[in-house]
Formats: sequence, C-alpha cells, structure tokens
Amino acid sequence: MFSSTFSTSEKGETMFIKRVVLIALIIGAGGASQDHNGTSLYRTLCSECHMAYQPQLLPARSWEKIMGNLEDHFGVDATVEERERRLLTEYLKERSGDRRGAEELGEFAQSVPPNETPLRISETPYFKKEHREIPKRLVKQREVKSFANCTACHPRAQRGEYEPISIPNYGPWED
Amino acid sequence: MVGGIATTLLVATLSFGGAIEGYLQELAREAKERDPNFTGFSKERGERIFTSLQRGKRGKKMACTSCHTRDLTQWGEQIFTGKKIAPLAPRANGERLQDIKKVKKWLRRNFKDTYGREGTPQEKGDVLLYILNF
Repeated sequence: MFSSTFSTSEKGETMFIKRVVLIALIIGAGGASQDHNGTSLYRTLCSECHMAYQPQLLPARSWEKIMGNLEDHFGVDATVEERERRLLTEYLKERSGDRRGAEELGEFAQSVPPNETPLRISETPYFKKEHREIPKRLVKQREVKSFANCTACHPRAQRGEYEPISIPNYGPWED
Repeated sequence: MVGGIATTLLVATLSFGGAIEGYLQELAREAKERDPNFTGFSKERGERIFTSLQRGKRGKKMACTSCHTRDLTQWGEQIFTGKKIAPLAPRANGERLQDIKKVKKWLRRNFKDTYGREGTPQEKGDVLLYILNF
C-alpha cells in the first residue's frame, strides 16, 4: 500500500489510487483521509531535509524513539509542532516494518533483534548485509555523503524502488 | 507610545507587503516589549548575525553562511546532510518568506543549530531585514 501510494508514474495506477481513495472517502472511512494527511505531512515536513524513508524500513519502537527527540535529530534541530509530531509518530508506527503483514521492505525492520532499537536504517542487519560490498570511499564521497542519502545511488528510492542502482563515479551496480 | 509609532513607521516604510510585513510588525512589538530603547531592525546587524562564526554543532563552528553561503541569490547546501538549499533572497526565489509558519520554524531551528539558542525577536527581525534587502 505504502509504495503504491507513492508511485504515480503510470496513469492507470494513479487513476486506480484516486478511485480507491474516493471509494474510501465515500464509505466514510476517516482512516483514509487520515492516511492522506499523514502521507502529505510526512512528505512535506520530513522531505524538507531528506528522503521520506519508507516507514517499513524501521520497527515501530525505532520511530517512537526518533520522534521523541527531534531537538537533536542526528545533530540537527528538526522540531515540529507537537500536533504534527504526534500525527507523524502515529503514521510511522502504523506502517512500521515489524507489524504483521508488512510489505517487502519490512525485511529491514524484521532483521533487527528484539532487544535493539536502531535509530538509523543503516544500522539494521539487513541493510548492512545488502551494502557490505560497497567501498567506504563511494559512500563518503561528496556526491553521496552518507548512507542516509538513498537517492544518490537508488534514483527511484522515494517510490520504494531500490533498483536500478547507479553509484556516482562508479556506475551501475549489479547485485 | 512615541517609540511604538516610530517602530510602526519604520517597518511600514520598508513596505515589503504581505505576510512577512505582518510578522515583522509582530517581532517589532515583541522587541519593544523586551527593550524600551528598541528603535527598529537593522540589516547591518542582521548581516553580522548571519555571517559571524558561532559555536555551531558537533564541535564545528558555524555561521548561517556555512550552509546558505554569502551570496543569498545562490543555492546553498546543508553541510551535514548535503541537502541542496534554494536561494534565500526573495529577489532570486519568489517563494521565500511567503509562508510565515515556515519562516518561524526555520528561524527557530537554525538559530538553535548555529547559536545553540533561540534568536531574540530583535535578532530575528534583523536577520529577516537583511535577507529581504539582499
């Protein structure tokens, strides 16, 4: 659901999403408009600084912890209004990767041992495994800066698609 | 009272219009409340606030210009995350300083990141005046 609401590349799919949203609204599912609010709030506020990482990439407890300390958000003040903070936290937790039925990206969250609460997606075992062959210098380079910058090598990452892969100053990366 | 009129006139004569003018008036009122000798905002003070090196973050001294650069008509880059930052000067970027909620949010955040504290109403007004006149 999450990744499909983000991909509006094909007209048919966009139409389909519109229809689903419309039907949901007609049925009077408050959840649907809440869903829309959450998505647009997440995209608006968080994408001001970084990609709006798919919530499935972390377990709910990680989102809770991250959203509980926006004063020091990886060294930067990222505070929002309290109402927005609560809405965003709910939004992220509801879609986190450790809940039952999480989509494919849930592998990241599900790889985290139950006694750990990583604050970075790049700290999850699955992420580390998937990136273990990438030389540090390609990550540290100016065009990438850090693992936080998904779209530097995964141009379609914001749509939830992590292929194809193309690393700056290296070229296409085949898995 | 006289001061109040002076402040109003001062901001009014700047006539940027729109929401930002309203916000400047609000800041001027707050500045006057804190300091009865306040006579108006200064873009020169704003420039010093914007360009001087402060305590910053992660043991790294910073100025507003570290990310926004000295030329506010150009794109900048967040030094920690690499995020590209659109020009701050309204003459180069018509979307700037239109949304007051956004203005307040980023003044709050960026003062904290650069100065380690919130800006005073006068400092915020000075900086805004500097940006508006750039």
